[in-house]
Amino acid sequence: MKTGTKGEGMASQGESTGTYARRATGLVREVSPFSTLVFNMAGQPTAVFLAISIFFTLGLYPGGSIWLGFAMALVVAIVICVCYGLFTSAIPRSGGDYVLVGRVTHPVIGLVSSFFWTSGVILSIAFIALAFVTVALGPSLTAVGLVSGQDSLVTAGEDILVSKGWQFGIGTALILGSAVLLAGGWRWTTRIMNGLWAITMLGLATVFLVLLFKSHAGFVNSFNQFAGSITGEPDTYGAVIESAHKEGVDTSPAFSMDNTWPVWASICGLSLFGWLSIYISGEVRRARDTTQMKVMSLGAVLHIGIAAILAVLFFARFGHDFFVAINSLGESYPFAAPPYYTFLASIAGGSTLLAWWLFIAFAAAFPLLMIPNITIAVRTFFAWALDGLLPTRFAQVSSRTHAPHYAIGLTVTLSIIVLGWAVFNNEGFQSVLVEAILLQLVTMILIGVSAVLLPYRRPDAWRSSATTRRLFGIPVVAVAGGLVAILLTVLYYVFLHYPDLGIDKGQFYRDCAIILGAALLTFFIARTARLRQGVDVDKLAAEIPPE
Amino acid sequence: MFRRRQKQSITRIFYAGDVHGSRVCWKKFVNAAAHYPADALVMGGDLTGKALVPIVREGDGSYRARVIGESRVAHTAEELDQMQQAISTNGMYALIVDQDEARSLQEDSDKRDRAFEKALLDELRLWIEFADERLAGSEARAYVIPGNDDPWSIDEVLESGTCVDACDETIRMLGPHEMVSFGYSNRTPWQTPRELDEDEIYSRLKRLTDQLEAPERAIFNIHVPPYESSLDTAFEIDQDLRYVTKGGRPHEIATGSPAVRQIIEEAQPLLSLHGHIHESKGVTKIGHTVAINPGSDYGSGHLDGCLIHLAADRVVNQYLVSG
Repeated sequence: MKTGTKGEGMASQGESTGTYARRATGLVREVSPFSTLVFNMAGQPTAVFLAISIFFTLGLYPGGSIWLGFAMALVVAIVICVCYGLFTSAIPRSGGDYVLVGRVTHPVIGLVSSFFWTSGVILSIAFIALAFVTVALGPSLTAVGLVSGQDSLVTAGEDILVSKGWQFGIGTALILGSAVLLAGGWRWTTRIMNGLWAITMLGLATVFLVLLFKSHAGFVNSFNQFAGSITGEPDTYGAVIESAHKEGVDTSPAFSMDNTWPVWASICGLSLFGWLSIYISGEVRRARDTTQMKVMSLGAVLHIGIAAILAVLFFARFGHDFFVAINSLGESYPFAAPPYYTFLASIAGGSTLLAWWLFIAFAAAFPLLMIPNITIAVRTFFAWALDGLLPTRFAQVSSRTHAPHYAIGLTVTLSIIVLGWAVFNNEGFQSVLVEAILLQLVTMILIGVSAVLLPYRRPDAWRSSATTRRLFGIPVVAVAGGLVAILLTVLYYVFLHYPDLGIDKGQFYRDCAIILGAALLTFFIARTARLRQGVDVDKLAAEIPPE
Repeated sequence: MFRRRQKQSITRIFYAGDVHGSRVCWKKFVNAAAHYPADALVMGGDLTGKALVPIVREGDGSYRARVIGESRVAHTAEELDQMQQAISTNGMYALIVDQDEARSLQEDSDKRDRAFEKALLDELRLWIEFADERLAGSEARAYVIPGNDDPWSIDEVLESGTCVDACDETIRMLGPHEMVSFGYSNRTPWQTPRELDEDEIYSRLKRLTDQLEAPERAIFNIHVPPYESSLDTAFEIDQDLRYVTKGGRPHEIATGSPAVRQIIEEAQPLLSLHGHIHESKGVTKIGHTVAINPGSDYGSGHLDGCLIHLAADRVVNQYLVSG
């Protein structure tokens, strides 16, 4: 190699873009577009979405169109991806809403946003841990037991479902396992996430293939054969529909727009979070251009597209009236396992091996969902510590793995406390999930509002972002931000307007007041403490004036 | 949780590096002295940008350029100014040319190199003027070294400043602390202007540290981070500048300098400041020494830096900031 001498180093090369680069050491970002796609899709696993977010609305809101709900949710998801993708290209920093909102508005508003988001994330972690037991392990073991005729598995599944000790123990193990993985470093985390994502997607592909090659008549036959040994009815398929009618369920209701709104809201609950890579933008490759926005949008299209295609198959193969009926039945529901698609597809396949595989693939979605949530909480605590709002110890990283061990420890501690509350308060995971979603919607609206302000409050950052295009004279990012704020406000209204979606309004308003108070208190305590050390927290978090 | 403010005298240092031609980052660096505030500004090298963006003057009087993959057109002087700012914020040099000149730049690499160097030096002169103007009347000084990416021609420009102290391979006093500065890096696949073999790095640094009167209170301002310090992790790149992959994924390696690590372990300064590996931001300890790499994301227009409060015998606090 040559030794550097005067005049060297100016070799340059032409590029078709019209930009000429010289030889210089390069910034390398770690997370590839594919891993970014996986990270975003992991935040809303399609497998979990199909099991718990859609089909329960068939009986609850008769006439509500899930197809219109899918289409409306896709529009909202794309608008969010465009807005957040463009916004992040202007400020490609790890830290997500805390950085985006705080840098554009004021650090205290960024912290309020972050408190709402992180509270929702901690609740989500508790929900995922609890649902891993009550949605994945318990029902799946029961389903495999029923399909394979192994009573011990049915009993094990039922025991897990009713035992709070198992729920807390297994949920805690999932939180700790995910945290240990994260503490091992980002490289292993992305590998495991990619692997889990592949397993869940292969599981969905298996369901697709099983149902594609199964006729409706074939499913009815398989179902009656399977269910006959449990119910003693030769035509359990018909009996399920009849029972639903007796319970007052209309299996072929006329279209109702009023009932489509809550269906849309429910679909949105696990379909609007395909943009979580903004929390790791500092590590994402090509975060300055439109790549991240496109990757986010692709994730949203894949998620809703796959769900819609499978939903079409479910109705076609299981039969419309039967599928509505089995998802609406109350006391007369004849099985120990809930009517998730994995259970019905296992019956259609008629194979114990298939039942096991679908169980594993479905269960894999929960650690997959857990990892980005824990990552986001950790990154947020890390960012607070960097800005002096938490002790600097929480910004320290391991010299071996580069993982912030103290921030991970704080996340785990808070998550396990909330899991304990979720397990023992008897309100069920649905209320935990909906409260988590509504808390996070506050933050998502604040990001939208900040995107509107970006071109006016941070014109330099906006001009050097992926696009400075305008729509009717207004910057595209501001238009998208305004739409995000409006659409999510409508979604908020729907969640609060339809009580069957699971929100306790009084409890929710109290929680919002507590979170707001805690954010303001944290900010002002930290600011006072740091001022005594000669450091102005406002200035640590603020942009240095360039002029 | 939060330590009490120390009564003893504190030296406040703001450190940043790797601004790579980003005018807004340089301005923020200079203004950091008043913003945080800081008694001394330390710039750890790699001042110059990596890319030249021709803005082509079209026949209809408009201007066209490709900025971050997007084709942009400026019709007015104000729009042209904004386009130049966007290019500059991203650490690139804007060069207004007509269509013939644009063609000539594309075809003639010598001409391109000359244009690049001229743009780079013109920009740096503006930076030095800005610093001299802003820091005049204050006690703060900007201690600046070049990094491995910086061409030798910038040295003369750096030395022209009155409030900018070009301090490569020197020892300066920052309050009660001696500061050793060193801008070279070890070998890189890019074969940049200021690279040395490890034994040469060690012997040059050793010559400097042997002159220290109180190494335990000293500050090292060394562009390249110490080897295997967690401040030096990057993906491995081969001689053709392609990622080395293992198991289908880019392979991470420690890219720091063993010589720098050895000199830190031997001298055990109070503080060691580094840059060079933008993505390996962090704070660590090597023996008693607090070692910091604030990272760099100059292309976003944010200045990654570190505000450090030093007592005579210890690091009181350090805050990684992104301003």
